Amino acid sequence: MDNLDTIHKILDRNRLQYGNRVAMRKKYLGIWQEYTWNDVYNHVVWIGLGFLSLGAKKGDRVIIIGNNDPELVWAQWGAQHAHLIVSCLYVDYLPDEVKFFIRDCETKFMFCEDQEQVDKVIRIRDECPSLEKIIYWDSKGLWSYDEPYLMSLEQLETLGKEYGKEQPGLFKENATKMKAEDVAVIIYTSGTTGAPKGNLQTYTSLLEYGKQGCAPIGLQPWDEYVSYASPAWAEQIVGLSICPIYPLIMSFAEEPETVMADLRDIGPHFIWFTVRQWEDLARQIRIGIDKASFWKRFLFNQAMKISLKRLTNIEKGKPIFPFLKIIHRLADFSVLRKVRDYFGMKRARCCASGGALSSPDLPRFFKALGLPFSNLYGTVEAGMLTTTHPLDTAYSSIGKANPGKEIKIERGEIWAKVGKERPGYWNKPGLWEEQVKDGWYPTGDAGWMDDEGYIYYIDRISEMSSLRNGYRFSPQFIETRLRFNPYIKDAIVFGAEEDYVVAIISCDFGMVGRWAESRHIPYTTLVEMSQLPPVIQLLREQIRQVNDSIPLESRVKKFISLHKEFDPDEAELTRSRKLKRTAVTQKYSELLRAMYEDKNDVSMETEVTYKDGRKARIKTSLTVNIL
Amino acid sequence: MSGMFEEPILEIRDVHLSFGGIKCLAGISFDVFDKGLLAIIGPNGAGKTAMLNCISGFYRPQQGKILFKKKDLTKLPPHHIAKLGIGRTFQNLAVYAGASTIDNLLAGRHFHTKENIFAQAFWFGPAMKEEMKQRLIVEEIIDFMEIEPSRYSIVGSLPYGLRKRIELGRALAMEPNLLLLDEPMAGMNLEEKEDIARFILDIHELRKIPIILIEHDMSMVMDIAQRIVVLDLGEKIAEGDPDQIKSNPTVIKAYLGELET
Repeated sequence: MDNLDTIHKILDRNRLQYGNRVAMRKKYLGIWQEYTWNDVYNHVVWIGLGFLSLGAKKGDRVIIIGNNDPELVWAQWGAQHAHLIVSCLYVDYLPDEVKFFIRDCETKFMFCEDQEQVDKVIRIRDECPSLEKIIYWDSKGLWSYDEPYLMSLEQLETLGKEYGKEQPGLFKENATKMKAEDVAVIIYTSGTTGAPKGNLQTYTSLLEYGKQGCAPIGLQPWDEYVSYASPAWAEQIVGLSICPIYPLIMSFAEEPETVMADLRDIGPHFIWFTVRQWEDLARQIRIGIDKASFWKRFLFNQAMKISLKRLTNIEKGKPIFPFLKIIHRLADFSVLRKVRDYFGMKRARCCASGGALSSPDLPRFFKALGLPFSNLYGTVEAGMLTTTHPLDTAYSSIGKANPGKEIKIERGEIWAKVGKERPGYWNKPGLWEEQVKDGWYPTGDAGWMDDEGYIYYIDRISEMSSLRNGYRFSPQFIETRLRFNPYIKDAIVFGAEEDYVVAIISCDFGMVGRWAESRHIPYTTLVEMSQLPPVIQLLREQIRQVNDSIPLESRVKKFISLHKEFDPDEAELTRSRKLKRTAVTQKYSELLRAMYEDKNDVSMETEVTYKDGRKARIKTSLTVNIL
Repeated sequence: MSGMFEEPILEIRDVHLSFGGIKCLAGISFDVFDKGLLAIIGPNGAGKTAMLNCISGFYRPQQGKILFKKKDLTKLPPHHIAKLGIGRTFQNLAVYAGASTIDNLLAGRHFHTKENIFAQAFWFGPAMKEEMKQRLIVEEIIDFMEIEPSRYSIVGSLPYGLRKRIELGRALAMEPNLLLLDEPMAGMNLEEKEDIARFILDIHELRKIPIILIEHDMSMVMDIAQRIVVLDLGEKIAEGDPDQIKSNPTVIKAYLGELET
């Protein structure tokens, strides 16, 4: 594997050795269509030549925006064969956000999925002088667009085929010039702190990251993998670098909405979701159980209780008595296995979660279900740093340092040893060198390490708060615990320079709605529902449960039930659904003040942005609730 | 104006329709040209749906002619009219609520399916091939209408906006030569409306078939229609392109004027 240091060498090996074996699957018209490594290689050749014939020069940039599709992968690999630097964006970026990225990396080509994305780019094209061509791969609705700078993927491939005939040998000659230290992609940080920074990644760093992250979790060649994580960052490492190396078989969902059904079709061995996606899945499972008949619900709850009991014993190092062993086997065989199967995780050998802090209840929940759950921790800058082994019992930790990685704790901050594999940031010379201190990169994450070398992640240091009396606490730590509650969709916790901690809760309207219905509590709108006294009481109880598991000083004392959900379109969440703390604090400053001023209610006017960009104002009155 | 030199595909000639003493349509005439997107607008009770019902054969006008490709529809039963290639959706949904999305769309393929009761009963040879062919067409419509997630769902359990989309998909499945849409956006929120508007434009662009659309949302109509016919109390009070209609004083008085007060 070691001489496979560029994407070209990997793909070339796959074509020669596994040419007729399945590389990718995509559900189209309800049927899984298969692509072999030969097919994939051909597309890569045509796209690569196509870009060359359009005048791509080494180091030019291409931005790809679209959902995970085989075409997206071919486009990235094809572009890389033309020595282009690729950057992928989240599909739900607004036009202005897309404009930022196009201008920041002065991209020459845009590669869009469909009409929606093409329209976005056309709208801002005038302000992006560097942009030459827009290429799309789903032509629906674009039939009558005759802009000269627009081109379909087929047209690009045709160009490539012709160019290849004119200049045989050009592709191979170009591809062999690809070097491991070439910049392959730009990964933009999600921008929780300020404007996104473009991280340059070389083939070496991408492949290193992948190997570091995947080594401890025991993947095997030809394992099934469903590509669902966004290529804006995580998928760059797993799907686009690791899959071809092993190789894993990548499957692509028909539509983002059908992922759960498609997951079940495939039955993947390796599942890679963000913490948010795992939280959503846990939520779905619990909603499903909630809706099930009494007996099903009873059996599931009992089975989970037995399984959790067994887990707690393992965690605490207590012996597991034969009786518990037997009933656990029984519960697993008769109930939990069925649930795993229902969600397509029967064959799962590794369930990885990454991207943000998770509540320890999350791995515990999935482990109790019988899934081999791992926490992965890494940063774009320093690579995949730690992984929990599926057998680890330290649920609240993020695991031990990955092989080949060195980690130390410096004044409560996690520092990671970095080599020379990454050339730094796009267009910000010197910034990376400034950040690194004697070969160590301060991640900006607060954490601690126990005697066995398990690392515990607390929060971003910049997001730690301290109460007026100096007590330091992590809002995110409390939020993740709140969020794991089925009735709470989102929460934001405050307390910086104040006497006590307060929270704004956005309840899960589906779950709470069903709860209210089952108790015959009438309501007309979700806004009204969020303020109903019984609902408030329900939330109060849920928060109390969470309060019991956190230190006395940082317990939530007051909360407001928000009348809406947090939304990335209103700049409350990042596209990877992390909370944008400063923006939210500013936006809801009135609510916060009310909670510290002993008011009983507060009226709030919010501006809502519709999906088409139109704005409207909504006025609501929210109650301040004491725990 | 578009189609000035073309033959109209549908000619409405002096159509009168009344129920007892109530005059519903009083001598309506207009033409629908090939590949045109025509909107019929008007206040409640103006006779818009009655007009569509006359075209698709649910109502029989007492007087007048409706010529589709020179063939008079007024004497034909609705299923013959459907066979001629006139597809429609209804103001109040008319999907098979107890059947799946797939089955609903397959129902739209009825006229295009070669039948042989024995082969179909045992699902062999030609029947199998035929079903696969029909399924492929239905799957293409599912892809087009973006309803993959609810492929196997029972239609009655789906939200209203989706059911509307499925109904439109079923009308498309019959490969119509003329599509009649009765308030396809009624009861939808802004986002759903824009989705449907996009689907209508996509259908119009891809299938290149004439569409008659009844819609209340003025901004939508002005955005997507090429020509507009305005009805009021059973009479046609104006006809023209969106700009002409916007500035027509009779229309403003009868319809838009009411909105402003």
